[in-house]
Amino acid sequence: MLSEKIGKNIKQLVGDSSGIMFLVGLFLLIIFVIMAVFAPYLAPYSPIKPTGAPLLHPQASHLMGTDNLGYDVFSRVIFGSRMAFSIAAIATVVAAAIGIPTGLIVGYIGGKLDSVITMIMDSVYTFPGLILAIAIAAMLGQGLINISLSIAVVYIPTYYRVIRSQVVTIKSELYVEGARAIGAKSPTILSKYVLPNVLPSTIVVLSMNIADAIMTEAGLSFLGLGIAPPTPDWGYDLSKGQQFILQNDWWLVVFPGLAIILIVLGFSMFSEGLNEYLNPNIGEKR
Amino acid sequence: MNKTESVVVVKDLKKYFPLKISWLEALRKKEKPTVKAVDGISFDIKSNEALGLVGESGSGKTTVGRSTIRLIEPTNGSIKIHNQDIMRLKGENLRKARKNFQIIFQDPMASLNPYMSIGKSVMHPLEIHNIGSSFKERKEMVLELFNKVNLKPSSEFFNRFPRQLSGGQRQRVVIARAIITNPKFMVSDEATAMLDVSVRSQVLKLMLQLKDEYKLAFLFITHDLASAKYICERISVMYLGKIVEIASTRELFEHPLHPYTKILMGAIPIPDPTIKRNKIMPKGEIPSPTDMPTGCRFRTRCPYAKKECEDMDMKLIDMGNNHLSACPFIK
Repeated sequence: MLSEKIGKNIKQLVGDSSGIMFLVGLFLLIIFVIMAVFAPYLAPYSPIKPTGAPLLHPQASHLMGTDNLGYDVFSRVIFGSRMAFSIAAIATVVAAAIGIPTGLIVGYIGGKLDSVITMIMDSVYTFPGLILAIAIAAMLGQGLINISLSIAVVYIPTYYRVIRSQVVTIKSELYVEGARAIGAKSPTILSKYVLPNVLPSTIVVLSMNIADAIMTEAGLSFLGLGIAPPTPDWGYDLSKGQQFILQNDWWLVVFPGLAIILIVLGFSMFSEGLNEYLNPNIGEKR
Repeated sequence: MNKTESVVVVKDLKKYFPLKISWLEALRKKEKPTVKAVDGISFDIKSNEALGLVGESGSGKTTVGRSTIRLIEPTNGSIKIHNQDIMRLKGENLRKARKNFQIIFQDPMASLNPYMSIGKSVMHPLEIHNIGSSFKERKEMVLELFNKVNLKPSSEFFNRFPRQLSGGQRQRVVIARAIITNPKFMVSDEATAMLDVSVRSQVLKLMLQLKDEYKLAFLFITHDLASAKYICERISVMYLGKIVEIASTRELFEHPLHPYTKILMGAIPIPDPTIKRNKIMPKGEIPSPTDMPTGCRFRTRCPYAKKECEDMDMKLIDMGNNHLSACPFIK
């Protein structure tokens, strides 16, 4: 029954181009998730120990070569996915956990509170994301949690704005008025009538934000504000690799860079396809 | 009329909407400009009686319906439903009192939560007002009601979602949700206006049947005089926030007194092309509610308008036989 449903949906998805996009995105993400989960089994060497001569070209023993300290680049790329996922996940969850309820409640109450909070959120939103993250990261210092928090702050307004604008339209819908007419309390109206109707768009924002958060995280580590070395991290490896690019040691930059590009692409395509799929108006047509 | 047996007594209900103006204007003017959507109307409805409220778009019918059950806050007036002073209720008490008065909205597509199964939607009022002790008992009540409103087989409908239903079926769900708390007073806000003609008559029949069964006081808001005639014992005619005429349905159709009512009657099509009648046509368009005519509000369009109309009160005058009209010149 369930597999039949999934099969039908996949068939529907492949039917149009957005469906293919969704599947390619999903495929990329699955690869990265497998990489992150099974990193110790997939990586041939330890990512934080010298495993060969420095600056080896890609070859059979070191698929992506080694860096200036003799670390295996392939192993570091595999282990780097763990860092990318964990920081992006923590940052997104924190941002969503603050942004969604605030947008929900403020949008529903409206009035002066709405104007004030929206103004604060907008002023945060107008900051260039990376610069704001740098400022906060510089204040909080290095470390997984601190980096995650500084990225989270950047994305709180994104959630707030999406949720609030949806709530403002939904609260004037007839079914919300109907809920008031049957005597429902405001928290009940919010949780049972408003939230389910804004959630689909939240899921899309969520997966788009993860992609953004990974890029911001890479940016922070590139600038030396990220995780303390030698913990494997794509952004950090990228910044280290660019010192050797003039010596034609291209593999130091290309492989971590490719990893960042592919994971961000995966999330973007996935969320774009998801958007198409979760849009209730499209559901109506089917 | 015996007031004690009336379930709903509304007196001098007013709803003014403030107009948006810039703060500079607000400083200069002492009185804030308002739209007088409902301007002092009174009516009462007995149990098992349907009062029609007819009028054209913009006359304030919907505002009457919503402010009578305080979905929007009336500016002024007194509302008594089932011997309870609705205007004095606050917060929690108002919320609890809502099981006694319900509303059916115009658009059945929009009045159900798309992410809630219709069974849950209809069950929700029971949960809110603590009617029934268990999920099973409540579900029984919902299924029984589904049968009553002809959503059969009821157990199959229970888990369906609004998008899987037709407009008529959705309106039946909305009616079921409104009736499940066993209310005393029901407002139907153009409930059949958006339905196909064939479905409309079925839904009208259903509302009539439920009115009898639950001894409802029914406020039937519509712009369709034919539907009102089918459902209502009495009909009130509204024009620009005022009731211009109230009479029993028969009386109103046989001897319409107010010029506006006469014009509305003239707009009902007669299914016989050989019958010719002298149509009285109103002059021009309905005036803007921000710039209301003085005296009688209908005088700018009334074919019988005189000089006296400019400074008269639009008070309802008893013309005998419980027939009230706001026009003193036509008897």
